Amino acid sequence: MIFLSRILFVFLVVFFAVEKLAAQVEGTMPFMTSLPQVTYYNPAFKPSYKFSIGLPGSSNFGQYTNNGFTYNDFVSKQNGILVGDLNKLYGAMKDENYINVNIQEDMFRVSLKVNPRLYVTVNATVKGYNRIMLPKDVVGLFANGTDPYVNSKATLSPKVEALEYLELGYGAAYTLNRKLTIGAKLKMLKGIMNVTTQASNFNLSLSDTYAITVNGDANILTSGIHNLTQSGYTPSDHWKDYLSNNGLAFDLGGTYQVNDKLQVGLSLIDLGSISWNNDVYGYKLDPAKAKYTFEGISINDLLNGNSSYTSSLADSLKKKFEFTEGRISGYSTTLPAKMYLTGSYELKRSIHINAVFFAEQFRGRFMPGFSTSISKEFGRRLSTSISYTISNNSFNNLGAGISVNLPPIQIYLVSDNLFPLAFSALQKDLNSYANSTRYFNMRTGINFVFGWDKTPEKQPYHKSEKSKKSRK
Amino acid sequence: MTYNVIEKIAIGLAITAIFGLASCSGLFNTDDYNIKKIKAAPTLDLPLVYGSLGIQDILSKTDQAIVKVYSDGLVYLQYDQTLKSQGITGLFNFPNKSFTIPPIPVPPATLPARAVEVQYASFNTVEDFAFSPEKLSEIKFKSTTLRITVAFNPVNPASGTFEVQVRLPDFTLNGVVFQKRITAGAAGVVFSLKDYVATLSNNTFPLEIAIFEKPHSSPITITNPTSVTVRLDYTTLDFQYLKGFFGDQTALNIPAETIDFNAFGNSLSKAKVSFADPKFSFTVSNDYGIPTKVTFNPLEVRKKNGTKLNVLLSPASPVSINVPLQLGQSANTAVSILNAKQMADFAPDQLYYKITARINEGLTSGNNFCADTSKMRVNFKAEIPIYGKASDIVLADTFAIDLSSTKSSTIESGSVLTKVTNELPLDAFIQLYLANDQTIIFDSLFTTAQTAIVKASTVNAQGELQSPSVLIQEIQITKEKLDKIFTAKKLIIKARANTVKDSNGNQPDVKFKAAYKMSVNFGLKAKLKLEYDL
Repeated sequence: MIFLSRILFVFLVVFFAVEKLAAQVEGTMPFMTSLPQVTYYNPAFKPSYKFSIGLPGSSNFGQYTNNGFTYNDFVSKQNGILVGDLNKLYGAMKDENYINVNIQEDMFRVSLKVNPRLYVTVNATVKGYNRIMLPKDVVGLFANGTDPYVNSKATLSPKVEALEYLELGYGAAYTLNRKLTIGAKLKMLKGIMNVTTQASNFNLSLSDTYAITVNGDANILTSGIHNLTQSGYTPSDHWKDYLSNNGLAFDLGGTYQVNDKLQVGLSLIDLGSISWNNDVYGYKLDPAKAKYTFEGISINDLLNGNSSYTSSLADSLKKKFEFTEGRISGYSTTLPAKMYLTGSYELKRSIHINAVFFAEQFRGRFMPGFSTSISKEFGRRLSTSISYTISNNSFNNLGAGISVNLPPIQIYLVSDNLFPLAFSALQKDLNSYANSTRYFNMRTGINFVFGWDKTPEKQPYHKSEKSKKSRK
Repeated sequence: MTYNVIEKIAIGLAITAIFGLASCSGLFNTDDYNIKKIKAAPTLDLPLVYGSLGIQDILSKTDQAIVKVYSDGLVYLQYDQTLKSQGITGLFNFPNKSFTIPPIPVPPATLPARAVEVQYASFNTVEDFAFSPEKLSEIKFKSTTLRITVAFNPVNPASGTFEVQVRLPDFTLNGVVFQKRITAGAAGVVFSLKDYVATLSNNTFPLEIAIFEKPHSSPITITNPTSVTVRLDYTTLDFQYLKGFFGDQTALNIPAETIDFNAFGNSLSKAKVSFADPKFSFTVSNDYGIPTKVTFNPLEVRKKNGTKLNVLLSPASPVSINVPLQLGQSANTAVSILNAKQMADFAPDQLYYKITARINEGLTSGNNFCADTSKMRVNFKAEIPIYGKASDIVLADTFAIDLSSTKSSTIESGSVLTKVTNELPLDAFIQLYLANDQTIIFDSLFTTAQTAIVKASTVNAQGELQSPSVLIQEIQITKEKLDKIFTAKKLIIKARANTVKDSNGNQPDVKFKAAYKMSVNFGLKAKLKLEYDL
């Protein structure tokens, strides 16, 4: 009871702090222990099957998150036609709106229980992480005009981050003793493409006489992008070039069996970086040059008849806010690092209630999230989980995970908001789901699995610990 | 058993769900993303005009060179223009002159052979140019030529035996006397008199002719009678300078001269202005060594609307002009203007005058001189400090606008922000007129009450700046007026200005100093309702 009240307390604290919650991680999946992919969330996790193999398509992950607005926040129907309403959109937006589209695709994966203590995994995965930060003021400028920024400042600093790479991971989980299991994964990385916004500062302000001041500072680093814009360039003809983007990362994790019922875990995922050397190009805006105050037409010019309102504004802006493009030296970027703090409590045999506090840290943004779930295994054939996730300022995420285990075939589908999707599908109206969602993820695929593992009672530490006790 | 059934049902449902969701694409209606329009209701604040103006900027740009500043900062207009006239030189146009010397007898004889020449006969005379009324004592020729023609009668044998020497003892070039040998011939010989100085006595000059017998190897018999004729033709009788007495003459055909005043443009055409301390003056600078009286008729200032004001001189016209002591010098004669303030307050657009000059009035003799470069210069100076008072000054400008491609319905409401910090002692009422392409006004943007946009600074007893005024207004424009902007082709900005009034409603004299500025910021606030079709 005390434990439940603590869980409830944590839940409430997290619930009232969710205004800033926005993560690109998964809440349901870490407790789907029947799936070999559970090790992606904590290398100390040991899947239920002794051996499994995944071929291309064995694990497909897609995620869309938007901490600010939904499609419904933008459109409305007027006289039977769809109208995009910028003012309505502005009202729904956050000051900084992060829109993420992430993908993962396993090319190859093997999981093997070597002995009762050691479990090893190898995976080759293509990962893509794409994030755009759209400041609210960008839309505000179009929706509300310049009036709100009199004696004030509009922050118009979009940021783009794109990271596409291939990961080759070698992981192992090792049970140290009855309570503690540790895990680690070494990841060799090959970068494919990158966009990094090193600096982006665009501000617009108006004085009390409506004089408009704009200043900018930008430094955007890219790798593997510039060549794509050149005519006749075929990436497959230059695949060797991409081998020069090397990186290294680690996953570290551990689980601790607090008592027979409760297990807690902590993991840090994707601690590493990639050094970008192929086709590195920079796009820069000089802050010393990119500043301009437009006060209107000079009255002296007006009197002399040599003024043109629009051309004087446009010419000046064009001259001052021209990006310089050029080849740059190599640079490195870190990966979006993630953290999972998990707790799993066995309510009854094969029924667990779970909670996970997760977070992502990437390029100055810390994005936490929280998920709680209840999972049930129906024998060895079916594993299920029902979850509730708070993430990305989104509260209506009733998720589920289903794993149908028909060895050697295992089919699975996991999503943090599967229920609204399923409900919409039943209503034959997926639009209502898509138009109102800010947070969506899904992982699905087919694994080949072999050998359901037995219960933990047969783990070796019993014998050794018993012998230790008997020696005492 | 029951558990097995449940398990199988659950597996079946799960597989159905997985594949069901995988085949969701048919449940997706893409029409939901076919957005036809984007709409927004922004309020745009835009700067229109900014800057600061001094009185120098307000004065017309075409005459900036005449805008000056006194050491105390007071701005003034300075006109300093010299009009040059050679009207008097035009009096001295001399006609070509020819002199034919009567036949000079050549004594008959039989001339023995000789190896060296000898003078055979001679003839001296005095010739008269007979200029009138000029009685010249000296002339330096500029491009004058002299043709000398010699003819013997009978031609032979004299023309083969003799040469004629023509000598003008008072015509010298660098001290060398004009002396030429001429052989008889029908065409004669042409000599340039350029730079020759001829000393005359009441236009007359001496001429010496001598006949020389050339060497010959056998005797020659000169028959009786034989004579020689000599002819002198002066052509293009112009001069570098003249001396003598030039007679009592009047130069009437001196072209009229004008000086334009553009500093105020058309702004003062209907204004009432009063300048506190204007200064005008004439100076006549004379190169002619001739007693001259100049008559100004007319001498007036004019407005473009045709009104005129006579300029009163002291001394009164005709004005006796001082004479330089010697050639190459000038003598100045100052002439002041008696009604300078009246002239300035008239706010003229132009000074207009025509002069006639009479030389040697009533004289019969004298030592006059003039050069071909001699001029009479009339210099006009005006100093008008921008210090005084004025009302109904009108400044206007027209700009083309074309908003026909913009939907007027997109503007819901609008206003103009004005912020004017004024150090100039000038109130201004500004109106924006909407006009068609024929510049025919069909409406104005502001109501009468809204036009008081510029408030004058306050001044002290000396008419100098006491404190600037600051006036910030947001002038609402009605939707009806805004709609009319979109049909206008021209925008006419018209400002009606007055110098500041005191608390009693009187206008004191005020000073416009260079440092006084009117800082303006005009902006536009427009509430829009935008719809973009996609």
